[in-house]
Amino acid sequence: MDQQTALEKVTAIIKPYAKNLAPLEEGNLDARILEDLGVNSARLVDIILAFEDEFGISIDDETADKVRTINDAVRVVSSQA
Amino acid sequence: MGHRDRLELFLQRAVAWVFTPASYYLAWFWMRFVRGYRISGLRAFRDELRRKLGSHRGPLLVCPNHLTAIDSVLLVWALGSGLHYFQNDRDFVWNLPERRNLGEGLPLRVACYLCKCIPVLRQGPPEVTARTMSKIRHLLAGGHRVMIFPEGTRSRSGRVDTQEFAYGAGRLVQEVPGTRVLCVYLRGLNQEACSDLPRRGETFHLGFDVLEPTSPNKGLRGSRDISRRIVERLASLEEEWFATHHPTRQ
Repeated sequence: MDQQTALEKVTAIIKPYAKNLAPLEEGNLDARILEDLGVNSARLVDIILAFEDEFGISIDDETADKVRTINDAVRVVSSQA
Repeated sequence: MGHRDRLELFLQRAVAWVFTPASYYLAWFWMRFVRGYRISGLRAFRDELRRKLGSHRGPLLVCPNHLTAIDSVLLVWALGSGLHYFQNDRDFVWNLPERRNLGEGLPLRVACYLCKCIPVLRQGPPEVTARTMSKIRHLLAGGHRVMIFPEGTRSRSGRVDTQEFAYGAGRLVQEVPGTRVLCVYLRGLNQEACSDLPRRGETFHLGFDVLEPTSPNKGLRGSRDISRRIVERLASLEEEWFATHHPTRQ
């Protein structure tokens, strides 16, 4: 899957969980999901599971723990999808 | 888990055990006589809990609802006497307070250390979280009791939050084989919503159940399933509590 498509889908999945949408709207790929977007850590798990469902992939706990920024998320899903 | 962490836990356990009579009965005196709290049916609760746990001496995750800042202290009181904890130190639950809530004050930090607290950093760096989880797994695997609030924070609505809960409890159940979950619903008769302290003279009533939750799923999905089961059981204990003690407020 190309990076642009992955980015669009990742952004769409994260958006409902984000308390601060500005970094998403600015397209800041280095924005940290927890700190900058204000996503609750438990909801980050929901986001990872939504990635699995949307992209038909399986993300192990160790990889999930490394997803900290939007860029990390795009990298993980595009490498496995 | 590294040798240093093992040694730290061993030392904390030993020091906490030595101070158990002092820390337990000081807290008990403050709750019972300074604040005037009472736990209704305490002896029956302890007897029933002993009966339900039977000969289980393995890992036990205590998962209560969360309404006040002293819920964990009240539950330590509810779950055993000072003498029992002195004779069975694994039964004195380890608590996991948010590090930021402890502040910088030395007295509170010392009290937390003696009361078997392991400060956790919510939404902290993954390596810090991994180290904390490793300590908790080590304790559970050693047959200790660990208390974790499955809701993650005090309920702002005053009711068990079955939507915005955390998944740490489910993860621990998955990662430590044989872990049982003690769901406890504790609430004072006058407790409307969350607060720092319950009202003076408050009487608390308890409801509980012992679960062995499982999930056909592994990993994060399994953690979520198990955490959901725990929170849903707490919500049903809440319904039973209101039906029994406050039928008009259901």
